[in-house]
Formats: sequence, C-alpha cells, structure tokens
Amino acid sequence: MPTNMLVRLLTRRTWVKRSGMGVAAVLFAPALPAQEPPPGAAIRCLATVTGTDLSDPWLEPTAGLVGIIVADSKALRALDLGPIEPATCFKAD
Amino acid sequence: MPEDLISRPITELAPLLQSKQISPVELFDEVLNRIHQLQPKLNSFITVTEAEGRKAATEAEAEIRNGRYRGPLHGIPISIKDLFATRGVRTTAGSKVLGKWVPDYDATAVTRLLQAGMVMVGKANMHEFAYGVTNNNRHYGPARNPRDQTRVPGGSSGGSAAAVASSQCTASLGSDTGGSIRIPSAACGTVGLKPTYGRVSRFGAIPLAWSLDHVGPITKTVEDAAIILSAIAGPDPNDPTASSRAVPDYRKEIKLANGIRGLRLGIPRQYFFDHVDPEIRAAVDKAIRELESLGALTVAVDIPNLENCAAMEAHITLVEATSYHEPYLKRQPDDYSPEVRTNLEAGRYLLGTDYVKSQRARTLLLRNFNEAFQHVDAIVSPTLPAFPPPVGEEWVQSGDLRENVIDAFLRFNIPYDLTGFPAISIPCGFGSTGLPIGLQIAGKAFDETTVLRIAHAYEQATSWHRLRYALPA
Repeated sequence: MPTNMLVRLLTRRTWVKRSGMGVAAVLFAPALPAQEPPPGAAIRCLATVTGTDLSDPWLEPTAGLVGIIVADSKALRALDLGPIEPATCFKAD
Repeated sequence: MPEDLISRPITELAPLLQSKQISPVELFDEVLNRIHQLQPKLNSFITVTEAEGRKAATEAEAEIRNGRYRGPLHGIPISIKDLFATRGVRTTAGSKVLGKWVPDYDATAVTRLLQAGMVMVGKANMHEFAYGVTNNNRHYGPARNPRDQTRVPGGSSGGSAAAVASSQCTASLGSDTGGSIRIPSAACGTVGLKPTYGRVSRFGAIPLAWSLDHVGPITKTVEDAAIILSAIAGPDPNDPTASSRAVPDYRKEIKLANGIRGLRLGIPRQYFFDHVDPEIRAAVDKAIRELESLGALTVAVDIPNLENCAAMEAHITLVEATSYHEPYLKRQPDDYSPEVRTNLEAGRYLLGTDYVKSQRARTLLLRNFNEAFQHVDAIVSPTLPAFPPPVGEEWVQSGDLRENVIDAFLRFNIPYDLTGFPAISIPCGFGSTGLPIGLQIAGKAFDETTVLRIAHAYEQATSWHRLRYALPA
C-alpha cells in the first residue's frame, strides 16, 4: 500500500474515531439550557475552517455580532430566488 | 474681501475668481483661518494641507491672471475625505493601520479635481476605514456636528460634511457604501450626492466593500454638486466598474430643464416612512407638498423585498471588508479599534452561501426598483429616521422605535447602495433643537440629471441652503 494512501486511511480512521467520540459526548452530555449552542463555541470550533484561532477577548463580541446577523437573516435565507443570478461587476472585456 | 465670502457656494465664488475680483490665495487664507478657528472644536480634519493648498492657490492665481482659467473649480477650496489616496500627502483612512501611509499616486477623482484646478485644503476626518456612521474616531478623535458640537456629524464622511457646513471648505469629496455621503449631509445640513455605481471611478479610494462603494461630492448647493460630478465622472482604465457612458454637463442640464412640472415622484409609504421622528416626518411631508406645488405629481409606490436590505448589506459589507483587510488583520490586528476589529473578525464567520444569496437578492431588489421606476421618475423619502445622537451615544429614537444608530442611519440609505441607483440628500428643514433634516431623492440608473433637477427645483423654491452657519462661541 502506498504511504500516502496509508496516511489518508489513518487520518480518516482518526477522524471517524474522533467524530464518534464527539457524537457520544453530545448524546450523553447533560442537556444545555438553551436550544442552540452558544455562537462562541461554534466560532471556536471553526478555527480549522477559517485558519484563524480567535483569541479570547474577541470571541464574545464577534460571536455576538455573528449571532445578530444570522438571526436577522432568517427572512433572507427563506427567500426563494428561483433562477436569479448574483449581481456582479465582472466584465469579460 | 466680503466677510461672508467663504460661506458662498462654488457658483458664487467662481465668477469672482474668474473676473479676478478675488484671488485664490486670499480665499485660501480665509478658509485656512476658519479651519484654525474651528479645528479644535469640530475636529473636521485629520490633516490640514496648508503647504500644498497655498502652492495650488498661488498657481491658480498665476494661471487666472494669465488668462488660463480652467473652469468653475479653479481656485476653489476643497477637502478630500482621508479615504482617498493623495500623492505626497498622508492618507490614513481614519485608521492607525495606515497612519504613516504616504501614497505616491492620487485617486482618480482627486486627479480630476486637481486637473479642474481645485485647491486642496485638507484630508477630512472620517469613521475608521469608513466602517461606521458616527465618525467617533478613536485614533484621531471624533468629528463633531457644527450645528451642535455635542452631537455626531454622521458618517462615515463626517469630517467632510461638517467642514462644508461650517465653511472650512467650499465642497468635499466623500464616499458612500451604506449612506456615508448622505448620512452626514442630512446630519449637518449639506447636499450629498451618491452617483450611480460606476459613474465615478473608485480607483484610489480605500475599499470598504468593492461592490457597494460609491464616490461623490458633498456641497453647499445642488448646482455645486452638479459641477463636481461633471468633473469627476467618467471611464477609468484603473477601475473596471467605471462606466464608459458619456458624462453630461449636469449643471447645464439642470438649468436647461423647465422645472419639474409633470415629473412623477414615487412616495414609498412602507419602509421609507416607518419609524421616523415626527419632526422629520413633518418636514419631509412638507417638502413633498412643496414639490407638488412646483408641478410634480406624487404617486404611491410599493417596493417589495426592502425588509431584507439590512441582512443583505451586512453580509456583503462584512465579507468584502474582511477579505480586503485580511493581510492587515494578520500584521497589525492591535492597530484596529475594537469596534472595527470585531466587524472584521465577524466577516470570517459568515457563510459563503449567505453572501451569494445576498448578491442574488440584490438582483431581485434591482428588478423591484426598476419596476417602480417604470411608473415614476424619482423616489422621495427622508434620508434619516432620527436626529444625530450625542457623541458616544449608540442609540437613537426613530419615532416609536429606539434603535441602534447604525441600524437607524443605514435603513433608508442602503437600498440605493445595494441597487447602485443615484440618490441625493438635501436640506429640507430643521428640528426644534436646531438640527438639520435631510430629504432623499433617488432616480434611475445613470439618471443623475433628473435627481439633480428635482433637488435643484426644490432648493430654488426654499431657503434652507441659504441659512449661513453661525460661528460657535
């Protein structure tokens, strides 16, 4: 088996194992008082996606702002835009 | 030199300069005296360009003396929002991040004003990176409203509007992403024109959000705005969004037009008249009646999808701004104010799908407005729902609604940044506390002529723009 494939398999196994542990933690953890997880926790989890680890002083205000914008975006998200394409300033010429 | 000379608009100063009754150097010195007098009180400037201004004024004087008069902006004292790159002059964008940046080029709009003969008097104070509506600038101090120094001048082009309103310059160059030309114009009692997206090149303006940024004038009168727009509009190889459409002589066009008789004005009673201070509502209603008395016909219009404007604007501005600022955020994160840094950090955590949906919803909004514009020539509304708050206060009372000043001040302005349609704010009265009220007139894409024509007709029929600014004690 080529080394790179082995690495991929091991990585995938590790991911599956960790995910399993995550799911177990969610299933057996005591219920949170709020219906939705606090945005701060979600933002901290996104460090690998954004490539930026948001330091503590910025976590709460950033999460608060993101929370407000997401809450205010419910009607926008529900909007059925059919085939409408985005406005764009791209010009091929 | 007449005492009130510096209070006069371009249209009154230009003939005096052309006929050599006044000298650009004398005019510049008078303006500089006013700046020195008011800067400690109003803080309208981040940099006063005394040396550059005097050199330009001296050159203008020599050229005019030798019969080389360039036109109505020759020798006119103009301030530039510190967002625009100015060759050899520090350009901070109101930030510490760019606190030491001295560009080696001019923004296109600045180049065009220089070619027209302006005398640059300074770089106007602004909200940090144009990312706010109050001009509470932590790095260079807050700009203050000339009508009430305890209050904000609006933003983000707050220093520009405050400087024009208090005659520290005759006109200013501003930018508008969510209302940043019109908001401070309404708050300070000046004329602020946001042209159609693409009408004026954005090259050399530090971006806030590329797809929403507009460049335009802040002036004492509508005719002055027409003069400046004619000077700065037009195609630019440095800005692919700059339109190649021919630029009309706007001043000539608004003068040629035979008033506004028969023009149809749309009154959007939903959204644009919701949650408005009663004094503002009364002044705008009175202005609409004045426009009717001038022969315009008013028509009720209903524009769907406006309730999504705030969410669309938030997604587009935050994501585009964070994209631009990413390198600076990595290098100098501590140089941002906490408020602006929070906005920029938040931009990383919004979904790409929401950003694209916002851009798609813009297309829908554009269609909805274009549908309305099939029945009307322009749409009239208040510019702001509330008066400018005291410096440091983040909440305002918009009629029956207490809301954050950002939400309040963006509300009636962002639809025209999202659609790109031209919109102007002109003074239409004062509240009982002496604070100005702005009337917003918006038009079809690239139809600045009609917008200016309506605004000019209203201005000629009223006297708000003639009220001179009284120096504070």
